[in-house]
Amino acid sequence: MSERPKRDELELPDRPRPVQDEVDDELTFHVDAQIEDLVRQGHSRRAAEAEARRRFGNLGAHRDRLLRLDARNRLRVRRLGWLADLGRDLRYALRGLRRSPGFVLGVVTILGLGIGANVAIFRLIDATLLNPVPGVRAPGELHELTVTSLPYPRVERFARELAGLEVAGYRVRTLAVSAGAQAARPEQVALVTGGYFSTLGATPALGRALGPGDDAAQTAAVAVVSHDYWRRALGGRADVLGQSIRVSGSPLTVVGVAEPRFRGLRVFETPEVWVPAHAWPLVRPSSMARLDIDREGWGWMTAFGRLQPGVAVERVSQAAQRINAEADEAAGVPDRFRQTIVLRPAAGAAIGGGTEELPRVFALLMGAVGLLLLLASANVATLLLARSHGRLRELAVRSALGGGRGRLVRMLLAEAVVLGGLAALVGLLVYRGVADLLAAVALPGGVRLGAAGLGTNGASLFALAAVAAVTAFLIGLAPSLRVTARALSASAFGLAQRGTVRRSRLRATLVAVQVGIAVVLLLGAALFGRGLGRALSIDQGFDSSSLSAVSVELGLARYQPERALVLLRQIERETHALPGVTSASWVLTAPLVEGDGGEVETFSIQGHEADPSGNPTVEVNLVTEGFWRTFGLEPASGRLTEQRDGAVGSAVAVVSDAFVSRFLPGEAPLAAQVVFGGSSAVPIVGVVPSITYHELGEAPRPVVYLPLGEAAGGTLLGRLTLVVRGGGPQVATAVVDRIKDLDPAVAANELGPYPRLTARLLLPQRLGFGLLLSFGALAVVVAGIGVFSMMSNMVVARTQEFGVRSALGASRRSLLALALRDQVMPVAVGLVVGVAAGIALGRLASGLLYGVPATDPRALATAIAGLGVVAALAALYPAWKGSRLDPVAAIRSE
Amino acid sequence: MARSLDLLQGTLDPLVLKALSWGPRHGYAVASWLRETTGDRITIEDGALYTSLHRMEHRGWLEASWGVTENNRKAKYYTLTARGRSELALAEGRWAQYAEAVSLVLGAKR
Repeated sequence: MSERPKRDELELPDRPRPVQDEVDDELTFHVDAQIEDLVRQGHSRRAAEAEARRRFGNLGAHRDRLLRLDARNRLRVRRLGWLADLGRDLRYALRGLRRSPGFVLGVVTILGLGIGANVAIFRLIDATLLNPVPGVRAPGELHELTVTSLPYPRVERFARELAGLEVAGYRVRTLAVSAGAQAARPEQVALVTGGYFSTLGATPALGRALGPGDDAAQTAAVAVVSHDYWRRALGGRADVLGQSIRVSGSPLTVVGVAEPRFRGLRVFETPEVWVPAHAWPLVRPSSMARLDIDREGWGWMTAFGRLQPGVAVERVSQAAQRINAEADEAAGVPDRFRQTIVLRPAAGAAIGGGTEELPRVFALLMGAVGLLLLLASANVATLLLARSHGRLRELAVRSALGGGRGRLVRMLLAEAVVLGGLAALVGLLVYRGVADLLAAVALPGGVRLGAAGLGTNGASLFALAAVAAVTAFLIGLAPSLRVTARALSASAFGLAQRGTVRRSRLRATLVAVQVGIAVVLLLGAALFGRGLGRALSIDQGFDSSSLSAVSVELGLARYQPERALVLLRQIERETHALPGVTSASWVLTAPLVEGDGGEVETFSIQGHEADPSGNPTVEVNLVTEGFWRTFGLEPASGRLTEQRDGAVGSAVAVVSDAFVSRFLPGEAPLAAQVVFGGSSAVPIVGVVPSITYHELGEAPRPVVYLPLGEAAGGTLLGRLTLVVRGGGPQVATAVVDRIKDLDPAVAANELGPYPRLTARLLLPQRLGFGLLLSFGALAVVVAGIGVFSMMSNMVVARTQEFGVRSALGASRRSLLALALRDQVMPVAVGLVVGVAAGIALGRLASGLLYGVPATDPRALATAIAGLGVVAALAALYPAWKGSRLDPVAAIRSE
Repeated sequence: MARSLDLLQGTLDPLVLKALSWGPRHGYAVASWLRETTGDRITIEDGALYTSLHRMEHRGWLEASWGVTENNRKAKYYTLTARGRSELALAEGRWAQYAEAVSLVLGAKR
């Protein structure tokens, strides 16, 4: 105790007497005194009693009134007193903590990191899984009809005929959008049926939403823009209504601005413009000029609906299935193309395709941050425990003076509450930082994780408060119970010395917990690191380090094939002329670029017998002649394609070696001819090595390469990617600028350097590794602090003993061994349990680890060694100090 | 005993405060003092007096503590707090104004 306690700290309330006793005592005294006075004045005893009663009035009624009055007041006082006590406890805690700012800073930082990380991951899960459809009314009622797409007339038929479900449909496409004099940019545009906005229950921030009246051929030239697009491209001006924007070159009148959070039904789709489905003829690319929305056979929309109250999902599912079957029958859809329709909650479908692994990674991360916080709490609990041991005497005095156990616990909890509150503030900052970092992570398809919306909201603040409260409770409870139990049993002052707390099982357990959790996190990081390393070492079949990519879709700018080819060739030539560029090539499917799906066609080989189970399929890639050089492919046999091969009527094919081993085993490939559909046979002129197309580690893929030239026809109007070798990291930007100069109506999409593009392939692994590594590192440091503080306290507590032993001739080495002995057990137990738990959790994540087993010896060794070294260092220093104590000073120490 | 008046509504509290303005007293002492001072001209039920005491205690105008009388009996003593004292001053001012106004009206010639 470094300071004399102030009066209010020692003031403990005495138990108040019952209200009834007080009132009765007071009234009895009054009546007795009155009677005595009257008797003294000469009244008889009996008369005096009667007079006293008369003067008092109705005794029973007055007494009841006083009892009621006092009881009510007593209650109020008790409430105020509780508040005053709480205030006093908090003030006292603050005063105590102010004396050790270093301790507070450390604790608040450790806890703040844990709390902030938890809230950030919670918010991520909230935005993607728990509450993934913001800005709409009652999202729980929304359901999607299957996952495959439907023709427009089918969606409208559902809207008309399906009872119990209000149906609408939409489709998001990337189209060229421009406002005013700005150059066209590729933006996501949603084509929606008339019931879209009313079904979602989304009200616009400005103007009006699209309605059934807009979805007709004459009225469809209107658009609702997103809040973001309005701010970004339209200057956020209120007079935007009535202005026009261009989509695929067609002017559309802006009639509304959507609410800021609204983005439709998918977490990672961010439409900037909504237009009626009937605007399709105005905005469709020229490559799709023959596709009209009333065509029954063209499935392109996603249908969804709002379930009416009290209607069973199964009933609607069955009805939808019936309507769909009837429509299929009427349209003569072949059996194998018929789909089964089921209703699925829109929230579950909102995460969308291509990101299926994310929920699992999120769950993993939630577990990891939960463990991290548990570790931080265990650590702080040991620190508080150590601190409270130093205050044992003070607590003994308090309990001796009659401080109730509850009150003492509350005083100690107050300290935890203050620390928890400060940690929550730090946690808020950490959460914002982590959320910003996460928001910048690019997802497959080029969308950023931030599209899900990770900003601070009510849910995140609630989570912050809840997590901080639980943390405060965790860190406060153990020390409180421990200390008061001791303090009460040892209220005799002499016993409340440091020597009595030499071995604390509680503290050893807390250290074991910390070590265990740190091992789990470290092992997780090591496993992810190994998985990532394995994935990165997979041979892609080409060197992607100096490649960059830009994509265009000339159909969007209403090109025809001949003009398109001229422009493509011109872009290719000008790109080639850029400094540092060694080659450039247009390709239909750029290897390892997300969104380049790969064209698959059925084919046969001339002279082969027809396969009774139907013709095989193969991936077809159209490439200009620069492709071979760009990807460094040499012919294994035969030759590569040249520019003249692209002319009409001179078709040749190059195939991958996987194609040969799969479809032409033991034959001479250069003598074979491939036949696609009804077209004429294409001779194979060369064989090239297989390269990776879609996933790292995929099996070698049979591919047929055809020349991208005049003969490619409509393909020239679809999405094509220019892959550039060399030219530095900014070359894609330069290419986009060149395209803008050549034709401002072409919306070029800068995909950027290849390493960045392919990074998305391993997003879950990278995210998992990056976060687990930071958590693991943090965990090891925190656990090290825990071991260090336990060791230091033990050495301090045993100072006298060590002094005596030293004076009796114990060697320094034996003292060191003695000091370390107590530490070995908790660390070892923590290690064993942590490794077991880590392996079990690693099994759950096995799908993300590229075949690295959870028991991977190198990962295990890294984790154990990493923690072991830190723990050993943390334990050795205080032990070494303890072994070198001056025996005389040590014996005198207490 | 002369015919006594009923206490005007709301005037008991100031009288009790006044009774305590010379120092701590228990309830019985307050009642006796009021009886003597008014010459028994105003009827105050002792029970009502206690309601007033307790109410003013809860309001923080009085403070109560248990003490011992000269006859060595335990009794609850009431002390005027600072707030009670200023309440008393206010009440005195209000009463003086009221009495003056009433007498002006009743003493009016026309």
